Amino acid sequence: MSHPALLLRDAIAGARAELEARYDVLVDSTVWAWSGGAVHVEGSVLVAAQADAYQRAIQDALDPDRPLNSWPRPAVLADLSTPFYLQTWGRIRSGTVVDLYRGPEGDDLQTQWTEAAMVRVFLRRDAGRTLVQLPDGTVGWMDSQLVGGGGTQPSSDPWRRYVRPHVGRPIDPRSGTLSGVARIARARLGRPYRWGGNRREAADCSGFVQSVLYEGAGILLPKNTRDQMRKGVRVAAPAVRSGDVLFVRGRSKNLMHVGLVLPGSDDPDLTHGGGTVIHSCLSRGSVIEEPIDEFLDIYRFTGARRIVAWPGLELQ
Amino acid sequence: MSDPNLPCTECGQSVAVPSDATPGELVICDHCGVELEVTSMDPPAVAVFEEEEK
Repeated sequence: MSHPALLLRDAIAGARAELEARYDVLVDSTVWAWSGGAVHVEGSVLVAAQADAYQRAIQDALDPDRPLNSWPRPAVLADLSTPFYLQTWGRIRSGTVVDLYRGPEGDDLQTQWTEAAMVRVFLRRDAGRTLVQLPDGTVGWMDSQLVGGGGTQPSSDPWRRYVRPHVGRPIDPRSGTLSGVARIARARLGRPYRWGGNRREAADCSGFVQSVLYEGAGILLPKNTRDQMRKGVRVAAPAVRSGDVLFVRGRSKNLMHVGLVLPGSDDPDLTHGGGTVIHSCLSRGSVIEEPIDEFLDIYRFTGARRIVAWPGLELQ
Repeated sequence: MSDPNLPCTECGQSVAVPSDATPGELVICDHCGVELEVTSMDPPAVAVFEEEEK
């Protein structure tokens, strides 16, 4: 029987080879060792899937009966809870519009950022694109020329100022009112749909919801629709009401879509559903508002979340 | 009425399906994080949800 140190070495090598084949670019500074009868790891990986792969490989090699999560796990840089001092930081200056792409090349836009901010820098390149994480948690590639502040490390967490939604319960708004959110959202009616966008001028469905709730409530949602669907608390279809975020998908295609429920003109106290849904609609090419019943005739109900706890709208 | 529990079709762990869930609604497995579509409520059944490419 091989020594555990050799089994560990081979398991790590195998997992790393699989990861290198899976990702175009691998951010991985892990160093693994067998010492004192146990596995030790230093360093970090970029995403949870990498840490998962290492844990599975070690479990398979050393003790398949031992629970997966009992094995050492490297720090995951893209995890929002990872301490700021483990990160490398860059700066986006005020007035800059950042387009964040899925890859180091190509035009597959996944989100944008339009205010001064510190970003986590995972892979800096002098030319082309640099791999970063924006404050909303999105990881992607942005123009290297727009990432400033190389080598300067903050003395406290630069992202502490952002208020993020809870999981399992709604969060109090940092500012604003639901009526104010409705005004902000309706001021964007007719503005064009843009795939990956989240600006006032043009946004996709999840970018529209993210942008409106950030501007109107001070709550920073993730950009991705499926990530948004994991925030706040579940609301059953009959209990949906103003302020809820409504998730649907096409009836002919399993493509996720999201909109924001607003009070209708016959619901001035904002206390019940039956209002409207405002959303940035790919097929119509712009932000539109329509009665919730018509919206749910067009799309299949997929879920609803109460992400913000608006004052006066207690859970029913 | 308590929520029915079903095995996650991905990891096999127990997943609570809300008793007022609507077929087509997604629930998330707390153990493996996979999204499961409620395919029926009579009897309750779930299947792994896969989003189509854009």
